Amino acid sequence: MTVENTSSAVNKPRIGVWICDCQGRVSTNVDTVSLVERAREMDGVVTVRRVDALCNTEELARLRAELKENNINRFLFAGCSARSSLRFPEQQISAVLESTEIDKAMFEVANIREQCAWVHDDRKAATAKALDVLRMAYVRLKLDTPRAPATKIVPRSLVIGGGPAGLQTAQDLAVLGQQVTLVEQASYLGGRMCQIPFLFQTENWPGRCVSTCVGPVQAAGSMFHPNVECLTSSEVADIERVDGNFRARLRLGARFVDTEKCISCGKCAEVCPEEIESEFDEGLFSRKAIDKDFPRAVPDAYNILERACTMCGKCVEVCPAGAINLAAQAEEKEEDFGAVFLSTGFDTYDLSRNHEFNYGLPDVMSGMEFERLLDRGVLRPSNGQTPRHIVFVLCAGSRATRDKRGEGVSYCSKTCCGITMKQVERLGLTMNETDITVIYYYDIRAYERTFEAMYDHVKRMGIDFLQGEIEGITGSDDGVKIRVARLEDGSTSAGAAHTFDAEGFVTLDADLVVLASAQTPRREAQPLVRKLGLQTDQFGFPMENQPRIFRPTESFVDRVYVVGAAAGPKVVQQSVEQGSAAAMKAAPHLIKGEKDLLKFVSRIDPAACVRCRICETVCPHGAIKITEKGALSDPAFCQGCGFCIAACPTHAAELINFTEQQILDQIDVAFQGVPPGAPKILALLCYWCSYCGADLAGASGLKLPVNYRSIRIRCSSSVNSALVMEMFRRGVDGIFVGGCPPGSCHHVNGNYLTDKRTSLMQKLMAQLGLSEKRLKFDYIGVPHSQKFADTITAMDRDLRELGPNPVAVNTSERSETHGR
Amino acid sequence: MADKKKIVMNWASACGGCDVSLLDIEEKIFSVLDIADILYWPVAMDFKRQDVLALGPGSIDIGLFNGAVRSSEQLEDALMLRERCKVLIAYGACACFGGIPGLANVSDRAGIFEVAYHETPSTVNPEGVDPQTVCLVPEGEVTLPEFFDTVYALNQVVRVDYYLPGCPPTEERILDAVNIISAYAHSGELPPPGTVVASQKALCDECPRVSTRTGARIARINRPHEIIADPGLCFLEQGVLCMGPFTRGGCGGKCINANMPCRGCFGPTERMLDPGAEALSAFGSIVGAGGEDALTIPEMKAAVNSIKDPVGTFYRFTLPTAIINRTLKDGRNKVKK
Repeated sequence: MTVENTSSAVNKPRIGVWICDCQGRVSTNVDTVSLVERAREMDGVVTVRRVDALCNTEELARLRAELKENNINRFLFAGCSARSSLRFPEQQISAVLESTEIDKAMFEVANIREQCAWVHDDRKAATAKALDVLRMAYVRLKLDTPRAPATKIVPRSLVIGGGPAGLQTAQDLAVLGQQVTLVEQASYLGGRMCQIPFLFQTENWPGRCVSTCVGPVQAAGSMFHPNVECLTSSEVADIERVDGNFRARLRLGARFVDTEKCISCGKCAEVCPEEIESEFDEGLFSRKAIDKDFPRAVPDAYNILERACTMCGKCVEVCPAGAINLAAQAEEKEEDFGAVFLSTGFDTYDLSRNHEFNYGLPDVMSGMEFERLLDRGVLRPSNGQTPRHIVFVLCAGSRATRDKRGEGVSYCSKTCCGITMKQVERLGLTMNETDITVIYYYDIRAYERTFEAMYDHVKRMGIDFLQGEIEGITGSDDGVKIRVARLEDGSTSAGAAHTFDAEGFVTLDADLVVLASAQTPRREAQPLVRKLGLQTDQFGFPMENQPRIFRPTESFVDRVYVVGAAAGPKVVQQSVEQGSAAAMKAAPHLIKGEKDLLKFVSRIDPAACVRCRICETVCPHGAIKITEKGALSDPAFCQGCGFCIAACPTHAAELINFTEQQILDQIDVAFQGVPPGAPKILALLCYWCSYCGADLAGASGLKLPVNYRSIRIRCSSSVNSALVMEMFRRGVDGIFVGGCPPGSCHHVNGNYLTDKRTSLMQKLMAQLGLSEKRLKFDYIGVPHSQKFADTITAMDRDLRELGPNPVAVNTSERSETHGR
Repeated sequence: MADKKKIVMNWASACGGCDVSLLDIEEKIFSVLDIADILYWPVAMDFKRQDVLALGPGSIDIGLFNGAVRSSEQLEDALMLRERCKVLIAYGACACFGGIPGLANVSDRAGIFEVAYHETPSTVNPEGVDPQTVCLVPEGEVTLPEFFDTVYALNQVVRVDYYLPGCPPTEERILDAVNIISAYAHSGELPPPGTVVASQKALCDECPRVSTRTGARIARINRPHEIIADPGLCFLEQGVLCMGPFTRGGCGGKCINANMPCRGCFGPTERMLDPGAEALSAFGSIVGAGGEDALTIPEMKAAVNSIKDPVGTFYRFTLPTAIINRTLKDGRNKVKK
């Protein structure tokens, strides 16, 4: 897809320049009258207006009218910052342009307030700078191009995983009138929620639900909504991004039992001779090859496990409904979707990795397995007897950091303490003859109101708590022995019942051990995560888009949402909340039916592309795919970060409306007002954090050297090192690059990439005798305006000491030898 | 009927490989002789400089110039050929971009002399003599060419019509150049000035290994001698910094076929702003395992910091044509108030 507009009206620039005095807050330090005069001289400028305050309602109305009357097709505003103004930010400019015929890409802002009038006191110098800033915006505006037409979004969503989160998304979208396909791997809807008999709310005591009740209700919301197609026993075999949408190949498991005909009488299971471990019961109990996983399963039908069935046909004989067809085959279908919801749930930590747990013992089990015992009756798997002493071990394979021994994930799953308190509480209420001990390592994390209340309740019940570290769990004649080591910092048992021996150990006799294991990323979802181009964190969970606080469930890939425990450990209630959030996040796109392209999108020229895939390596938004003709950047997925521009070896990639030419044109006009002898300092500031940090220097009354200019670049990582080199050639004396603070990049890691490249550039500069003080990178967040001011001030001082940049001098001398 | 052309080949600051490469086209050299007379070729024929100087301006059709320019003599040669040749071709990486000798631009005459005539263990120079441009001896005055501080590519001292890159140029590309000469001889037609006799695309475009590239990051850099590379797999996948993406193709992938990464002797592709900073930018982006949020800043930079010599790695053949083409003395000539 190319991004071009050949409309002749656009080809011939008619530029309108509005210069705002900000009721003196600009004009006190900047002579805006002289700016008006200079703006009038600029080629293509048809209207120049100086206003007192453009942000007030009357002026805005006049602006709209004049833009239309004068057929203006490019808007240049000189005044407050488009990024941080609280009265006339880019959102407001967009709204103004939207109400006229002007494409939203066709404006530029000369920030003569925050980074000029407010940070420089010398009116003459500030005016000279303001004129440079106006010129910079002007040369850039001249080369701006309108956005390509919006990409059509397929009016159907794909929800992958029918647990509590996916079900919530599906039914919320359905209620909004959206078409949804929900793909569930299991034969029933509801996911792990159905395995957990007692659910609780995290923030509201004492609300409780049993999944026997709410499971079918949650499932029915999707199952019986005409807008939702529920595909159970099915999978997404493949998925790719095509023309701004998603093309999925769905594998529909063989329908051996017709769910519409089946009446769930159970006669088939009675005669079925094949037994197999029930996955629903975590392998603790068995089921028949044809069976229903649990009585309240939706859809209400029996199912055949292909791997267990011998096709003996006994079930077919007894089925009164004629619902069974042993010749059924799996099917595949391909379909396009406009949004994808990854609600694939979680795996539990593999406890067999930790030899000290001896997880192979029949009476040593995970918390999830224990949920099934709570449902089916708490008896020892080894002998079917009621346990006399149950020991719960928290953080089993979790928080394995610092001094904690053993294998495990380093994070806290945040749910296990609460879930264990719930389990202990259930036992305490129903099994008075059974002793219970809870062994914890660091602490009990009862952080929600309900968790804390349950913790408090079980302590009042007299449940025994012991702090220590699991040295080893071993089988004994009639149970299990748990050897616990005292922590090295000397902390002792909270329960008086246990005394560590001289070596620092205590041994407990138990007959059932429950290990609270971590929630881990779903392994089976990993291929989908890769194919969708999602970024994952160091644990393998897909990352949410930055700023994460305001973009719940959004991934770094446009219209891919990561919902529920697929994104990280959650309890049912939190997963459901995310399901709703994701539906609401996607709804605007789906309802509109198209995706407006951004002003800045990358385009890759196949004539220069050599398919080295370096652009794909760095793209954080899954926008690039490799075709026979070369790399292709999909404008509907591109978020305009410019990483591909900075990494493309052949300059095949360019960022529309942020082209090399535009930047170099800006550099060429940027320093005309810098007095002779003063260093030309350029600040390349990332779109969100650093530019705003610089703006707020002005807002907080800091003063900066008047000889610095700034360009609001896309991400700090949108500038190629060769372009930096070219800037030096063109006479810039010092370049500062600002990126978001660590952990805050809006494109995953642009700040780090720039930090790395800058280090490498500085090493190169040192080798080539160009002072490293001429190039600096730093992490500048919105609150770091003092740091920004200090950095620019220090750079000014250093550059004055160094003298003019020798690259420009050297290259101009060299050019004299050319052409002999 | 071919109009037989007059050709010269000069040897400036180069290793001699370019001259050998011309001989390496074997019997095809005779086809050159069919269409051209070679008037001057120091390495192979017994003509002297005076013979060339005796020729008038524009009297030679084609000049092949191999080697960079780093002495007054080589500069004179360049000027001499430019004046006399209708078409001047920069032959080989040194003439095109400065080549390996161009890396001397990280030093200067004094620095180079210090190493070459004093510091190397094999130097015996008890009197500490440095070469001089003029030396008085009993018999009179003897002179040497001036050794420059800076190595230049040919087009930095004279106008160049065509570029035949490579270290040395490969047989196929030499034959392309021969064909240009032949076409010139037969029809008088020439390609547009500035033509580079090589692929217009980067080497990856013709590399059989490019299809094995997965888009993975380079977690750790392996220098070529540190691993036995898988001959079927893209070098970038193996952590080897291959200059293929940044270098014109057309070489036939000779190094790749010998299971060595591209080192860049065909020079940059057309749109590049700077021959080395582009590679720095790309490798600076993809070197390092990712997951930066979980790392400290030094850990995050460790892989990139293992690149010890950016100049030698990224500008191996191209330093004289880089934006910063030699070491500068930044801050050493301070502005006096």
